[in-house]
Amino acid sequence: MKILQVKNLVKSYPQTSDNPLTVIFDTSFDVCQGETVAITGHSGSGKTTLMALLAGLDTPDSGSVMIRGEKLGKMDEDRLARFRAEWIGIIFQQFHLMPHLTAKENIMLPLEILKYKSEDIERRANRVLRQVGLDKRKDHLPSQLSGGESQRVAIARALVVEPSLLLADEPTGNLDTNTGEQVADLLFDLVDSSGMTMIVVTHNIELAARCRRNLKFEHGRLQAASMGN
Amino acid sequence: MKLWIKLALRELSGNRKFSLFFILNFSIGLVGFIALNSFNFSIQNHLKNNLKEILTADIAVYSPRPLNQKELNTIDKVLGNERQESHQVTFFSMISGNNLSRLAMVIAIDNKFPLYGKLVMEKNGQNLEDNSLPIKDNSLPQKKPSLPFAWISRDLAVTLNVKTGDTVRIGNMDFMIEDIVISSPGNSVTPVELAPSIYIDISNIEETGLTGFGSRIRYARYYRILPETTTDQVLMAKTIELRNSLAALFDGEPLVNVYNSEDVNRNLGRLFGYFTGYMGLVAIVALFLAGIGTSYLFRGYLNARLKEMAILKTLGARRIDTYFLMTLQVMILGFFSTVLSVAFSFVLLPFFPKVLKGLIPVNFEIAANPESLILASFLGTLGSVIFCLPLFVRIHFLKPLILLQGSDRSAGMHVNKIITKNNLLKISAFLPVSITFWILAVGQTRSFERGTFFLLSFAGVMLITGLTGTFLLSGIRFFSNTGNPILKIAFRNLYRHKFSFISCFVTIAMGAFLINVIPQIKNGIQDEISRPEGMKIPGFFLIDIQPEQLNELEIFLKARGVALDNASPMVRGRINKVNGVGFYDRFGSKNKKNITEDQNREKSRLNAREEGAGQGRFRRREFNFSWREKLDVSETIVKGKPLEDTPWNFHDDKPLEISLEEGFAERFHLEIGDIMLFDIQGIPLEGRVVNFRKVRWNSFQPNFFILFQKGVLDDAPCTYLASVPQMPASEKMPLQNAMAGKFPNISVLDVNQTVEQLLDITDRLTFSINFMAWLAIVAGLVVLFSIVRYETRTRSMEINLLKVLGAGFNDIIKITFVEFGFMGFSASLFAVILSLGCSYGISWLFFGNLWSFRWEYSLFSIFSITVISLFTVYFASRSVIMQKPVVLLKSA
Amino acid sequence: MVKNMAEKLNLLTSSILIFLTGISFFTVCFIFILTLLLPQKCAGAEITILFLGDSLTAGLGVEQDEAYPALLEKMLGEKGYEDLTLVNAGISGSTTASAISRLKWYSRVKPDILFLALGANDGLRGLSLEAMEKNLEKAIVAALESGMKVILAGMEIPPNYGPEYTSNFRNVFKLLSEKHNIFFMPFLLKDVAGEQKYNQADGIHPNAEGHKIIASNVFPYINEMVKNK
Repeated sequence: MKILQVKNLVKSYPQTSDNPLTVIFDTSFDVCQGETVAITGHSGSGKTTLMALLAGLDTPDSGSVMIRGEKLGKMDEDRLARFRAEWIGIIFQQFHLMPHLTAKENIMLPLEILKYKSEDIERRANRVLRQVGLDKRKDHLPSQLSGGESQRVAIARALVVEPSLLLADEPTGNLDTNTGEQVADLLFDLVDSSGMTMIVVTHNIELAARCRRNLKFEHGRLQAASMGN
Repeated sequence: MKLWIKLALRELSGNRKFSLFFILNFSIGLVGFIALNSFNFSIQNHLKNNLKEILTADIAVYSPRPLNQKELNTIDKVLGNERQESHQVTFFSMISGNNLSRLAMVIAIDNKFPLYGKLVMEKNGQNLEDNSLPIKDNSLPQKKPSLPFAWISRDLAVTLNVKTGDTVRIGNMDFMIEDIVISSPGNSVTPVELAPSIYIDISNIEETGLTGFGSRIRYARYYRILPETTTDQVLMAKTIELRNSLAALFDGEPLVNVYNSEDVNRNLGRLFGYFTGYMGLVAIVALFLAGIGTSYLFRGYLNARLKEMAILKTLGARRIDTYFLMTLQVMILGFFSTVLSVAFSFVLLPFFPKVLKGLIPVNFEIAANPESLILASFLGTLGSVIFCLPLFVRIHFLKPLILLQGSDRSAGMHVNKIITKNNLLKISAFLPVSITFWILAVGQTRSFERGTFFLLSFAGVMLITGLTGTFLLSGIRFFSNTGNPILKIAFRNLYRHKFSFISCFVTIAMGAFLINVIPQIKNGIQDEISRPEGMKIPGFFLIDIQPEQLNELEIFLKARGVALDNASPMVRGRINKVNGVGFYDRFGSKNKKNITEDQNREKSRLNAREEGAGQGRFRRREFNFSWREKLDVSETIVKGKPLEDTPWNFHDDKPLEISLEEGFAERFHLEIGDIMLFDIQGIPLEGRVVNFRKVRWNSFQPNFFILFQKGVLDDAPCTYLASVPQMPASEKMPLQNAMAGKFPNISVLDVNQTVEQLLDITDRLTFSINFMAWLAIVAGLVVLFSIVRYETRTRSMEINLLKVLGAGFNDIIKITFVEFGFMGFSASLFAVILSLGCSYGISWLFFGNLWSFRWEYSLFSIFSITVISLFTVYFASRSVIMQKPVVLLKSA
Repeated sequence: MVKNMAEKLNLLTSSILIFLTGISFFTVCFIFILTLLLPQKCAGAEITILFLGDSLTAGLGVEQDEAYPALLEKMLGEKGYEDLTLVNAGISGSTTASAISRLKWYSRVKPDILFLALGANDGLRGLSLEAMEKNLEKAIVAALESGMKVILAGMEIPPNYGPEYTSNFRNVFKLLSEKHNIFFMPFLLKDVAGEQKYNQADGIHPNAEGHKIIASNVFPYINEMVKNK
């Protein structure tokens, strides 16, 4: 089953008035349920823009992004926000935790926004906290957590709604090598065990290598599709 | 809902410093607003009561004969039953005691007197300074003495050489002096007394035998309208209704006159108008300044919050949720500001009179009036949202996309870029603020046009300032081409931060503008309200001095150590024609037109009657004409050229030159260049109006509506009017008596305590105006501080970069000094220039052309604003400069 | 040659001198004739009556031609006295103190008859009656000395001033008229004072109707005087 279908995606940014800078040229690819896909490329290759389009954080000039059979471009902003909250989890390079909420509160936040019942929220949050191994640090504020812990909270927050698609933007980019590996291990374990679909944008080759499929992005075009192990 | 409240509270408590600052800043504005309004409210109330005490009533009805049943019914109908009433009969009579006889004003009172105010008596030899004097409040003696009693004024007691227990004779009847009156609530609306007064019981009036046919007696009825909470508007309406319905009972000029406290001093009524308008505008300005400061603070906060908004959006929050979250935060802060400011004003206001002891009368209480408290609560909670609304546009344009691009740009800068392209939305976000201020301005000035004008000129000033800022920016670009690296960096910084420069420039300039406009208007009003400097209220007016007595009188007074001031010649005459048309016919013709128009007949009939009645007052009047070597200090020419210095030649064909008092010219529709024909003691004279004078009647100096060129009236039979300075009460009577002996024809008019009271009121108004101006200035400077602080903080990145690149502490300080010094100086300089023009316009529109420019103050404000900018910059950037540049790496 | 020149010059100067003398002579003559003519033109009226008074005479609050002196002029005119001049020297608010100086001012119109109506303001202000008497007497004496005939108009003061003062006040006028043997009108405001319908709202100043009554009351005295003149 195809979770994600990308068709003839084009995106350009207005640079000067008459000469727009095209970032993505006519890109198409599909991702199936349970796949893990790495998108790699140099800085400025357009991979972050692609990520933004996949998450519905930006709109393409033409072409479409379809998740679970629904076209993102057809939704208005609020509907998109709802859809994203329910079906897409996003992990950022800079974690982007809410600074004034504790680890657990950060994890509960998406469920609260989606108006889950409070006992559900509690149950799910505790389970995810255990899964990422932070049940002892749950009452700490982000400023009191280390980088690795923060990213684990971010992963837990992305997973707590049990999304169909997980988008990770350089999830280990802000971490040292050691911590990065640990976080990557955790991430892949959780994804594998739940059979979730994940797209990772990275230029970390090791991280990319752990994905089943690698899409190499260069000058706004998909270069080659290679299967991982 | 619960989630958002939790989030809002969590974010606020996570940003304690901001929250505290916001609350403090906004509550300063609110406290200012409440304090100003309450102060204004209290002082007006106090002064109005003062005026009521002078009148001793809400409404007074005077007539030269007892009122008939028809008239009494009319009064009952208009005033209703909810009222207190006191009757009085007054007349002049020769009172004798101890073989001396003296003219006195007999005031026959009932036991309700006075409805307002207090009668202070001397009994037991206590003196005036002692506040524990027995106060006679509605209390005629219960046990009547064997003889009818009288309370006699101290002056009269001295003149007649009588004391408590003695008898005086009024008409056919002896009265026992029961007590001596030290001060009484005014019983006359005229500021001078022809004769001292004596109080008797109204029931004895018949027996004096003085009230028969031909007697000239004034009957007064005083009314205090209940309940006490009756508003001034209602009182005014009742006064007018009563005046009109009583006047309707008479064919010609009505015999019955109706007064209320506003009639006590018309001049003062006008001053009150200025005062209220001024205070209202200052209150709005204070609020506006606080608003600017607050929104500046909020802008910084919001920029920091934008990232979190974006996170919430990626987690599924809708746009409306993010609005709600921010609104909630602002409202919570606003609510706390209100609570704080209300608490402040309750704690602070009672301290006002204590702190300002000596400046504010002892019995003066400042209470927060409910009206302004309610208004403040509204402004606090909703107003804070309204103030911050223009910034909400930023949330609107927020895209969670920034989270992916994190390190490239800050969220705020990203949003800035989008916003600048959406002018329509940006402008519309300012609408609620504008409307709120418009409503406030209309409410405070109590006039639709004035409020609208106020707001429009405000907007106009902002626009002009913005344009000037933009223009200045191109100048800065030019200056940045300099060899001096520090100037180069500083100017380049200014130029590159276009948006921040312009908004900062506009804000500082607006602040400086307001700080400048207020004192300028203040000066004008103060000049009008306060008594002229160095000018003392006279103690006596001397009237009917014959020309040949003048020398002798001066010598006589000099021998007693008293100066004769402002001896002014005075000739009486009539005005026959203006530009060939009969002087009074000019008004008659207008009247006729009104009637022939025939539409709304009832109204025109009323108009005709009103005008007729008004005309009656100045109908066929005689005027006093005078001439002067040079103008008195209390008068200035406001239009036209001074009178010719050379004496007028009788045989010249040239009309003589005339100077008119402004208000007089306005009342009689006279213009400069009009040819007026006079009849002075049977001799026709033709003159041309050459100038208008503004006279400060408050000076209580002899002043005239009409002044002639020198030489015209030299030979005409004149009398002199002069004044004598104030003197101790103990010297007054002996002088008066000596004058009566030596110059029996000269009437000595005692300038009574009413004048003191009135001047006291104006002194207090002057003080309040001054005080409020300074309060607004302080508020402005506080705002300036928060703006500069905010702007410096936004530069912290650059300061750190400069440091990383090797710039020393001194260099960085120099750069920021040049940047902000330039900004502060140019903005305040511009604001001062702009304020000169505007304050002139404002005072012209609002306060009847009261404007006076003090350049010292403007220089001071430019200097202080620049210095404050520099100081703030120094302290704000010091903390940034002291940071280790490593922060730069971390913040990525 | 030189002599010739001198002669010519001499001739020139003498002719200029003669011309100038002629001009001066004519000018002097013209002015003389003028001065002869002018006073004759001014001295048209045979009898001049001066009304020296206060606001009651000045007609405060009514038109100048409604004041009693103007009414008298009309009445006398109707009686056929064409060559009468009435001068209204009423000044509102004036007291007897001003009488003598004003009389001097008006001496240039050479009054034949003085109608003296001052004193009301002295009384209303409670001024010294001795002083008032002296002031009036000075004026009467001065008028008599300069050949005027004097009519003294008596005044009364409202009863509220007290019985003693009012009667003393009244007597001043009577005694003066007896002492100097002049015409005496006991009360200028006879039938007018105290009557609301003949007075203005202030209760002191007569209205137009009041002035008519005053005029008809004054008329016999003036008529008598003029007849005898």
